[in-house]
Amino acid sequence: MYRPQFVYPKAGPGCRDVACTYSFDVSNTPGLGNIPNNNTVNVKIPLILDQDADFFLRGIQTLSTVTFGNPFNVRLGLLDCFNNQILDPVLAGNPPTCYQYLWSQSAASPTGGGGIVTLDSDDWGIYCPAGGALGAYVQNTSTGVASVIINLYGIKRYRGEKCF
Amino acid sequence: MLLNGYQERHHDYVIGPKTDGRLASVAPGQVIEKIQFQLDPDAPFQLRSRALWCDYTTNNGVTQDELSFVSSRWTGPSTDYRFQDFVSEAAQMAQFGQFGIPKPVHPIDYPANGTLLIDVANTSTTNTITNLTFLFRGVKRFPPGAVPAYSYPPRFASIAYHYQLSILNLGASELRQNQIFTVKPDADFVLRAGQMTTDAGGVSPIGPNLFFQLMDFNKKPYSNDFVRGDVLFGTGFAGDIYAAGIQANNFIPPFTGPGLPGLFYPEIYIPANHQMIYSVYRNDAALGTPQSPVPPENVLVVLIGAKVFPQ
Repeated sequence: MYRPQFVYPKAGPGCRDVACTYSFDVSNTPGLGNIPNNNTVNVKIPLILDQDADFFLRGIQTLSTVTFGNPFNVRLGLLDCFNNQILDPVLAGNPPTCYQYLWSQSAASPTGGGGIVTLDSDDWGIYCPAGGALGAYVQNTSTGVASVIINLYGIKRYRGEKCF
Repeated sequence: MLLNGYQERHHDYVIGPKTDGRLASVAPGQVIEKIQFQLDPDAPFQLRSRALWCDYTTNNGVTQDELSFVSSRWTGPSTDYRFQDFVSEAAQMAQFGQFGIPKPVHPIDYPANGTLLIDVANTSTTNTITNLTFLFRGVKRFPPGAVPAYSYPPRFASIAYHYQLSILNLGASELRQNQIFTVKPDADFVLRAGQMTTDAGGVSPIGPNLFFQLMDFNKKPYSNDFVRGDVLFGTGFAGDIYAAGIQANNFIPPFTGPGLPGLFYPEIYIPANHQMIYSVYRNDAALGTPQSPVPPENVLVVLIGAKVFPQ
């Protein structure tokens, strides 16, 4: 989602914000690799976050590769840590997925040079509690085996005695 | 949305062949003067940005090469030209304001029922420009309360959200009117931007001659005519569309995609269970490529915004 170039507010007293990028791929999340073609198994893949601090998700970038066929036919969807969909399914009951280049900046797109897609909420980022897990849905409708990389950009908020 | 003492409402004015039939085909070297366009009577209009397009053609792949030859000059509210002479559009803006990045204009206020004049020149010696169309994007400025305008509740929570519009089997020259998009009952939705594609999965170009008109639940439109999808929304994937100066090769529009989507300003706020109406039109019958006859295609539009939960 678009956000004008406002300055993010400073962390409250007792807090310290640290820029943080999570990267999920087959090396740390096996479900994001070796996804068979014409995959209709819609299992939610957990993207597990660190336990040391809350995370505020402010941007996303994705990349899909396939052994054969068109990487554009790998569709992705995301749920926040509280199981809220960020993307609406086209049809009720289907997993909430979409072409990556329509809602997350896809490095596979030759025109996807617009940077990182910002993800917004009233918390100046989508709140993810320490140790929480976002959910990812992957649908591979290409003709090859697919792998996906999901990068999540944001801040970790370390808390002291007083923090808000 | 109440801004600057006005109730501002996103609006696009489309000035094309329906405004002046001479724009349907602009011959090489032709100069068209005094294309007259009268604005709507319901509210003054503040121009904020511009774009232009012509039909995709098959001169050099599926491209809009001909836009490189468009020069124009146009007037403010008092028939006052804002240019000393014809100015090349290619020299004024990146990728002709398409793909969600219209060329910003220092705001110009036009009165309700005001008139805008455009002069156009085709500087090519060989290329005819088909269905040349200009987009003047800005806001209508109503007195507060003049039109329904929903906005955020005093207290709310929000989360990023993307709705999808799936438009299936749209024929090569099909007009599909008054389609309904309904916001889910769990939360309001604020529409801030959009992205679109055809369901061709990478076939270039994406949704070439595909047009949209958005309306609120009263069918009060957000544009006077159909706006081409890749101008209104933009898309993260496109072909080699534009002529690269004097080079033989074309280039892909850079810096597009959902990180820089087509924006609506002000945002369009739709309460839970409320509807937005849209019409879609495709004009690809004459394109003839990559298949002939041109097959139906599925169109996917992502409405980018946020869910708003009143508290």
